[in-house]
Amino acid sequence: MTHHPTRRLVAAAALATTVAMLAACSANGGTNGPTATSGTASTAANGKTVEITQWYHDYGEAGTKEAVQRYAEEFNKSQSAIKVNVVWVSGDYDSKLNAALLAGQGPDVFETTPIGERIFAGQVAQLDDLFGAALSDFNPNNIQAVTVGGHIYGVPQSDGDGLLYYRKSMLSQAGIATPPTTMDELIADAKALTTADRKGLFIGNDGCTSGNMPEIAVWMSGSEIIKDGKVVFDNDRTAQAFDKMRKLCSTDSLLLGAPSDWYDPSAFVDGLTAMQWAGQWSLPQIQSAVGDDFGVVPWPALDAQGKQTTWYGGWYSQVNAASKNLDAAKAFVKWLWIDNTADQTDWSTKYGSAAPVRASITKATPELTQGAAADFMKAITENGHLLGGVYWSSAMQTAIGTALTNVVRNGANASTEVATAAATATSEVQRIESGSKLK
Amino acid sequence: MTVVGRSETAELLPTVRGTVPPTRRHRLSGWVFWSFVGPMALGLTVFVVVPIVWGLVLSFADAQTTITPTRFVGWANYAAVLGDPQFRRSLVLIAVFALIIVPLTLAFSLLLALLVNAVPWGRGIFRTIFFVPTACSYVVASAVWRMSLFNGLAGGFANTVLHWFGHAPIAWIGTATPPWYWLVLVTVRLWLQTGFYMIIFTAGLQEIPGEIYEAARIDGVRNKVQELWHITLPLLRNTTVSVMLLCLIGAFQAFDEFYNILGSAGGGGQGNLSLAMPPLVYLYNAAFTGQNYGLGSAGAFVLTAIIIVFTLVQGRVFGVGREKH
Repeated sequence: MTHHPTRRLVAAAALATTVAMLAACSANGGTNGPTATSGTASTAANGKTVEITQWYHDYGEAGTKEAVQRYAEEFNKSQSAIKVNVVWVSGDYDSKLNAALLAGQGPDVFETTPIGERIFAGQVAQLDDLFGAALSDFNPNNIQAVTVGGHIYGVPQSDGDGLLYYRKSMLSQAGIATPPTTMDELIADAKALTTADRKGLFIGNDGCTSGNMPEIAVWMSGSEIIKDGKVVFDNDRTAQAFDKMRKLCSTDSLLLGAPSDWYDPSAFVDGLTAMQWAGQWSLPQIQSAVGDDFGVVPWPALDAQGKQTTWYGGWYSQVNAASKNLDAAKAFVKWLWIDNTADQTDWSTKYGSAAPVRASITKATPELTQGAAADFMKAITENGHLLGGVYWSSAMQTAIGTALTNVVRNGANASTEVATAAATATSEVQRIESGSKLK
Repeated sequence: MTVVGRSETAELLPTVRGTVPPTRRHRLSGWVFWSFVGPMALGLTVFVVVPIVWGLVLSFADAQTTITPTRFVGWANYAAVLGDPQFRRSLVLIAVFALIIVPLTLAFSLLLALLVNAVPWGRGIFRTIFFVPTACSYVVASAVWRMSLFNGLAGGFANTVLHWFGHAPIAWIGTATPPWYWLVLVTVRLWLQTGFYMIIFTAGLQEIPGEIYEAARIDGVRNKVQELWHITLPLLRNTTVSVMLLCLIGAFQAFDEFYNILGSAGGGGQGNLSLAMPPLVYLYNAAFTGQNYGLGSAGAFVLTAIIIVFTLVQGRVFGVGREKH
């Protein structure tokens, strides 16, 4: 894009890549077509160890990488037929995963948010037979998010939700007795909390489209986005909610241009803002930085007819349908994410704060039944909407985000924008269904 | 690059070529030729030609979540991408960006070249200082611009400067009206590329023979301004046109600073990219996030066509490579 390579450099690079490519071809025996799959070619039949690859996105919390490596190591030691190699993928995880799956170099096992398109495209293997009696222990909404045509295409790993963090001391200084529960209260409180060197509220550096705010804006009105495979947010309530978001964002009380974004608690911890929309994962960092001087509430309702709301969502373990070692990959997923409740407990309770996806683990974890952590768990059941789902696509997400942006930043008509986004969403649902490659 | 073996044969034996068996030397030189050119040609074929042809095929296909499509849809992808107001907005945006960045880069790099060329000593040092930003990555520079120079806090560099003049802090990147983010985007590219084009201008300046200036002085050129206007600039014409061309193509392909300065904040949003999304980011999202490789490829060919048209028009207007008269 911005390089100025000399011809010699290009030639050298071409030579190097040619050599590398030839080497790669011969290593694979030169038989791999574009649809061939990942993993080192080997079979369990001749007594050799099968090697499979597992991908994770880059979790920010300390110890996460070591933890997943430890799980794989435990599995490798527990038997000799399968060896798992963990790959920690930093950067744009979804793009890298999509590209790798398409190029036939995808991992055998990978984690992902629930993206229906991959399931409908036939890229993901059915995992129905792995669950057994454990199925009823999982949050049914999580299972629903990866279920198509009665088949389950992923195993939930852990969840997390977002809530509005507020500094108790700053609220009482500003004469605010209780945290906001409606949008009008939020707008008034944010204004009252703004001082010369502090803003009242931080919901992301772009003001309104990150932190899943567009979805929140729909939900706070009391409307749903998709219900039973139908797009249902094209209504006056959603338009009113978008207009209210414009009112919030046109005040001078929002923090913009902070060095870190909403998913990082730095702005809140450093006192740049009195309230911040942030994730459950930020809880330990905020607790250790400000002690008891904070509380959490769901995103305020649009008005008395609206609902206090939040999103929850998380990561699912899926198996590459084109994996050459499908059985080995499934065996590993069963071992780690279904049978091994010890490691699952470790994963969802020891690194940052997360919400377990299994009732038995939640019940057995006392930390989750008190303080702010309990508020997060309660919000999932009382205010939570699951992010993603089988009919969710990035084009749909972009359409809703664009609609909210146009209303908030460009002063567009909310009803028109909501209708446009709903039309895009409807055509996306139809496209996803009609493009199905599932048998 | 000349084809050594063949052309020599052709020159030496123009009438009987093909009837005389090639000598051992020629066969050897042919072997040497291909051993040097072969890997590069293979590399270019595999990494440039095949992807372009593949992309062209994809652009006419229903290539959602696949790069081996089976259903072809004619011009539907082109119609879809050109029918998307967001893509059309991105084309307008990048044209405006080019209109701002190209003249600014030309002016600053020429000015720097003239100044560096005029200092009596230490030319090498100044050249190096101004050239160093070229070696910096767009990603790194974007991070510095976003997090340090132009962050929205009172303690950011730009806001500190404003504070000296008693002005309240500004959220440089997140503000839609007025669009302060243009200042951030333009300055980072200027800083990164001015030094590179300065070097090209310096080379152009050194090509101008000193005698011409002497002759001009005898002919009555009285001051430096006249000298610049009547001698230096006309003789730099070809250099200027090349710089303009490179700069324009670079501007149309802008991605890094937009993606990294305005980029997504996570949680499903486009980040501040909704304020200013260049075509390449739109296409990147369409192909790699939306997995619509047909639409992405079609858009890429539209963009390529636009760049070619602009380049041709510019060549026609300014006369690229035209002989001096």
